[in-house]
Amino acid sequence: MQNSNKNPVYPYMPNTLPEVRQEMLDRVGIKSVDELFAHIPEEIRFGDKPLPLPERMASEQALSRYITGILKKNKTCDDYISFLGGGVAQHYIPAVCDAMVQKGEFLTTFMGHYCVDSGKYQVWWEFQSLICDLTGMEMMGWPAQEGATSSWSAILTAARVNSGRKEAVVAGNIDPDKLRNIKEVCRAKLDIKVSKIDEKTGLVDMDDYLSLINENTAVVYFENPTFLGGIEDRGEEIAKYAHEKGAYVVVYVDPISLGLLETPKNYGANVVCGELQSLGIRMQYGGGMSGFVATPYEDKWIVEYPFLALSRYKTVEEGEFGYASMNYETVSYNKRENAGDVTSTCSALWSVAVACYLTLLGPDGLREVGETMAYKAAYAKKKLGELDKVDILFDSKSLKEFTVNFDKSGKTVKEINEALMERGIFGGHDLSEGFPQFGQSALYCVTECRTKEEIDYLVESLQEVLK
Amino acid sequence: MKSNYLSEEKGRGGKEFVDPQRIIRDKFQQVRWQEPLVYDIGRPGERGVLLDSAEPEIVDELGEDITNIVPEKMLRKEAPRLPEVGQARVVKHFTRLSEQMSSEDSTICFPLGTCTMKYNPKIHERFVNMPQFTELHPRQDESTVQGVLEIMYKMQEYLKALSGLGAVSLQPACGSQGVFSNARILRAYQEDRGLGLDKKDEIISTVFSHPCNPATPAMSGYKVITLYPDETGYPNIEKFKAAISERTAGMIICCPDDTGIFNPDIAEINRAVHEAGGLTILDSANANGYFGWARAKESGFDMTHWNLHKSFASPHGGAGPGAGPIAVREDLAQYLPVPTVEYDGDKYYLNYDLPKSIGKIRSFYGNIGVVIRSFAWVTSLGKEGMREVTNTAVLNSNYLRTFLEALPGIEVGFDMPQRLHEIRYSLDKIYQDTGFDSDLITQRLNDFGIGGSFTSHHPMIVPNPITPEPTETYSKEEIDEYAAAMKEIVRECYEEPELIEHAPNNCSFPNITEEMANPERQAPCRSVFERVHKGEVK
Repeated sequence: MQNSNKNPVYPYMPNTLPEVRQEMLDRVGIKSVDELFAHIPEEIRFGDKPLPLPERMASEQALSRYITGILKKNKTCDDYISFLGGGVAQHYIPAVCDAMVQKGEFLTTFMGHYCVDSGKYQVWWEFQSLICDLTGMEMMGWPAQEGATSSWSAILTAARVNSGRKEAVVAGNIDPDKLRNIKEVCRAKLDIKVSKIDEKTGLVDMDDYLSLINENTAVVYFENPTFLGGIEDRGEEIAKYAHEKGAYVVVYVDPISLGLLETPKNYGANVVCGELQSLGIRMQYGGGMSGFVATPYEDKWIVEYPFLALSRYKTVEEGEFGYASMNYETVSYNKRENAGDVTSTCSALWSVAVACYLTLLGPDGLREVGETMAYKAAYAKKKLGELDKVDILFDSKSLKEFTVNFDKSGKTVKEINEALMERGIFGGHDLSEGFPQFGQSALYCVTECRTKEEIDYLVESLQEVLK
Repeated sequence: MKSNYLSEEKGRGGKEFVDPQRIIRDKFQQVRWQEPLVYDIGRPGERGVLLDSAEPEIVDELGEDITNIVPEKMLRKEAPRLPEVGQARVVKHFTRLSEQMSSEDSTICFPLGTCTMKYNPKIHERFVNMPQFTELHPRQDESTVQGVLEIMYKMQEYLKALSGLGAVSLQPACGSQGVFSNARILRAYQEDRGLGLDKKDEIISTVFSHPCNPATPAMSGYKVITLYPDETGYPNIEKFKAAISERTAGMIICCPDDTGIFNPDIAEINRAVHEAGGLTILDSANANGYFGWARAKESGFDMTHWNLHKSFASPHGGAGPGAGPIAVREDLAQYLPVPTVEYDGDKYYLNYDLPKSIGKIRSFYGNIGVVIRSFAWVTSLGKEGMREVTNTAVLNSNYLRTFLEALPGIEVGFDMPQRLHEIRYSLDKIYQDTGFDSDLITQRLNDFGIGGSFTSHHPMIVPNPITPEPTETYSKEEIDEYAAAMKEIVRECYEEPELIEHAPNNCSFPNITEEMANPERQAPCRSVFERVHKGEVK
């Protein structure tokens, strides 16, 4: 039987029970809850007007049917063979990562307090430490909202440390959406200069890039591997030049590369930032993202570090340690408009997944997954390159992504991807809008999730589609 | 557990502290695992998980030498110092740590006010853990993501209804990104009218508005004028008028703010900012105090944002992922971040065709898992239920007030009598009498199994503040339990100070140490910690 409208039951709100409500009203000394809102001036009070929302879907069963029904309309990277990348990709998620982020303790806590939430604080500190070990850096805080946020935060942070300089030089081969984001966020503080792309390698055009760096440059930014897939192997040269001109170097990495590939710290980066999705976070239509900013542990960096950070301390109990925030005084929670940056709710839950992932794989596992991706991507690149109407656009080497050009086929990437979808494949991300200079090109991503069989099937399918 | 029958007495507020059968968990003991660092478990060679290698045929084809594939000079020379731990021990490690914390699932978390700690319905977790959501790549063809786009579109419609404003973006990943987006839209709008930072460079805010309210417009190049409250608890209209000038680009404030005060002059204040050519932005982080009773539109605001991880029942996740969607006046829709989600009568699609867009605030479309949960929540409540949320939350807060005001030494900060979903109290009298500040006093709450407390954002205008926010999902019994514990603690402050001095006494954290105030002893990571403790202080 339906509950009557007069006394609806709300499972999430026990105090709506009439006798409880009455007892509480009596204690407060009012007749109706309306009296608690009487001070909102009548001119603006919504009063008794109904909100223009649907009637409630009170039954949990009905809600389950409704939402599940909508979500089942989606087709996923489990239903199709996905070669999509460009910031997020389908990586293998160890079962432990899922189990831990679904635990109610991690899921439903908040920032907490070091006294009563020491477990959360230890995980948080271990996360900071793991990222520091992974990158070779020594100052970390909680994660950024996602990778693009980490990029602009890292650039602004380095520019504050390098105060007085008003320019940032950014590699032109980054995600065009991210470039726009960086420009818009930084424009009140920094003039963003963007380099050309070397058409042969897809890496930065070195002459152009270096020519933009001068005494006004606060920050030099590039990504490794790049958005277009190539591994930048001239980081040392860039960093040396930038440092000679007094600029700081910020490098954005895909952290899953760092078991196999050198950390930017070792070719001269002052700040390492990046997107952590590859380390145990499900894609969730782009909702599963988390960023990080790691800097040197020096006073000038600590005072400008943008996010809340934890320290580990000895306690009065021999052999026991505690954790507490170490930079509250210098972030926006305390400095408000004088912080120069903003710290707030970030992506803390995913730091649990990342900490589990790095611990489960360890140094060897991380190197192995890097090797697996590099082999599979190189194999796909080779096989696709052998097709008649397909060109591998750049001759730089790849970790998991590379750019494929279809100009010779006379077909657009859109047409090709539609035909691939009919064969159960999500083809590479269409680059023709973001990088029109490269014609009909697509960014293909081959992670450890793709098998040889799936890659061979892609090659066969493309052969048919391009006939 | 002992049942603690509170005696009848009259406190300063005049309310009798009559209270039957309230339970104080005086034998609560938090788990204390003494769990070592993840680095100090396992040993070299142990492994938590094994994954696929490249197939042998692939390796044969490309050769075993990895330098055929990646540049030799880019190979990592020294492996990262990560832990090496077997899987079972990894699970124990993180599970043990999860037991040393408070959470909405197990604990009374409402002392953490301004954070709107409320029950996070479990049914929502089923939705967001469906592979039909978790395995969606954000660059998939629109035809394959019609389900998730439908939810996003319908959530946009809900948020229009709750604000009265004409257009919504779900992209901001948290409250501060919502405020930041609105501040950037404000700047784009003013620049479009030829009123860039050279002409209009001031933003007005209030000190009880959240820290990101001044921080993000400052990042966009604005000067921030911060108004302080009168005795009432809010700045009067004359203070706003004195601050408004032709330099005013706009205003960003919370209403209600963190003291639970709804500024009764808000419509007139908005009009005054508009007359000076400014736009006004409402920070709706405190929406639990207004659902169904006020909307951004009727109050005269041009833009707003919400914290879905607070007011809309999505779990906090330990500080994210959150979501800070924004709503703006119809004519400001052209500035929204791209893409918005639209519906053409047949299918849902992503609309990038906003030539004046501020671009992006975050990659892709936002924290969609948070959006799905919040969509489910609003759907389950409907129009009546949303109003009931605020009715119940505000009644809970005012009910708690009758107990706290009755305790000697606890006062409501400021004169404004009417308060909404939360109230900022001052424990300063207790501090003056006993030397125990509100941090230490509320740490004693943890000994009774009650979660961590939030005192106040900075600067602390109310001395020795606390800001409990008993949201609508808390039962009367839980509010009573908190009140009973506070009563006991106030008594202890005067009669058994040794219980307060080192509180909490029954929690996992060993206790505070002098080191914590010493920057020379800080260490944000293992390598610095090892260095500091070898005496090689930075």
